[in-house]
Amino acid sequence: MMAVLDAAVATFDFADQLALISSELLRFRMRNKARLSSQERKNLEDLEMNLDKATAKVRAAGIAELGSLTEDARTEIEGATKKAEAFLKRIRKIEKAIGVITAVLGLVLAISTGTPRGILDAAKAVKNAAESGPA
Amino acid sequence: MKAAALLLAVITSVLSGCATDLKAVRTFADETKKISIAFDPLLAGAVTQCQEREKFKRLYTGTTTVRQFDPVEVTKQAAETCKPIADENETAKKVSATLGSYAEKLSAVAGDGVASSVDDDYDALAKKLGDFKDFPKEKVSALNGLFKFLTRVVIAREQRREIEDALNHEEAIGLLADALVLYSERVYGGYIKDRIRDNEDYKEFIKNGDIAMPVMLAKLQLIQLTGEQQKLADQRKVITPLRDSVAQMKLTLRDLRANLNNMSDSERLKEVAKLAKEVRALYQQLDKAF
Repeated sequence: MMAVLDAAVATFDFADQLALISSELLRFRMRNKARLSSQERKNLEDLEMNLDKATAKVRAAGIAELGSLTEDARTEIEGATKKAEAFLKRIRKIEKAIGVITAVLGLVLAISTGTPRGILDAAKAVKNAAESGPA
Repeated sequence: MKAAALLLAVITSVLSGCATDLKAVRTFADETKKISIAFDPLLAGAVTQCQEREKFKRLYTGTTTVRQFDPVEVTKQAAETCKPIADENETAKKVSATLGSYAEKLSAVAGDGVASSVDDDYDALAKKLGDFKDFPKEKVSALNGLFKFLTRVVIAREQRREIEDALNHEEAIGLLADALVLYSERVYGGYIKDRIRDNEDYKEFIKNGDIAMPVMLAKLQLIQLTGEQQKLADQRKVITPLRDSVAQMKLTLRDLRANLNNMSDSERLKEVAKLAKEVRALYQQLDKAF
């Protein structure tokens, strides 16, 4: 585990301690049921529930820390992902360019030898090839 | 004669450059993507465990009478207690999504047919040129071959550069993966640990009569709690193969980076096979747990 994440580890340790204290209180309440008044039992139960809420909040704070501690790494990896995307896009552009040339040649052929219907179809093919894929 | 030999040597060298097998990179990327996907059930799992903990606590040890016990209210309170985890899970999700997107794009860049992806387009172009009566067929064929070859060489070189760049983020990738492991150990695993501890306490309370209930019901509860403990133990076991998968992923990445000029070696495939094995174990445990 990288030391960069140590701050989040400390937060999670604290959350575990809160959860353990809640468990200790629960054991105390249950084992001393007969000696405690109903109000005391209720107060202890409320305290346990509040400790559980605090545990959740501190664990959530630990997750938030994971987010801030990895923010630079995420930005770096997002940049690398975008760069890879740009490479794939460049290839699609080459494919598109060849497709447009092929469609234009089809139009030239249709004009020189074809019927009006063939010319229309070939013109549509040029339009489609030019509009397909990346801009 | 000398010039022809030199040309042949250059072409052979360029062609061998093109022929680099990128299967190891693809496998690395695909397995890394699988790790990020495997993490996602743990996010929902942490919230579920947190809520179950609250509900079971009120069920077994709550001070309310049966008449006062309101299951709808108990569920609502449990959701409220665990809301901070549910909200902050978005942050953890971003970490796994970043790693997943990166792996997906790396796999696409290292794709088998990337360098030859324009071949079909050139063939279509050559076919169209062939339809022109005045255009010599043999020249069309030769030009088509030359264009295909040159484009392949250019793309293959750029592809290799892109892969090198993508693999160069070893530390950042390792940190993101470590963050996922830490979440699984301390948030998801933290709640499972809490619940296992609680269940042991409930069993003890039932046996000691601290929780009053008829004998038959007490025995039935002990059976149910024991079953629940087994289920929780299976869910906790997901953490170890996730940790092992991430550890191997980091080692594999280091190996790939150290051997950028030997990507086709069988050693690379052996290295990524180790990663695939760890990820397989992770998915097997996920199947058991969820």
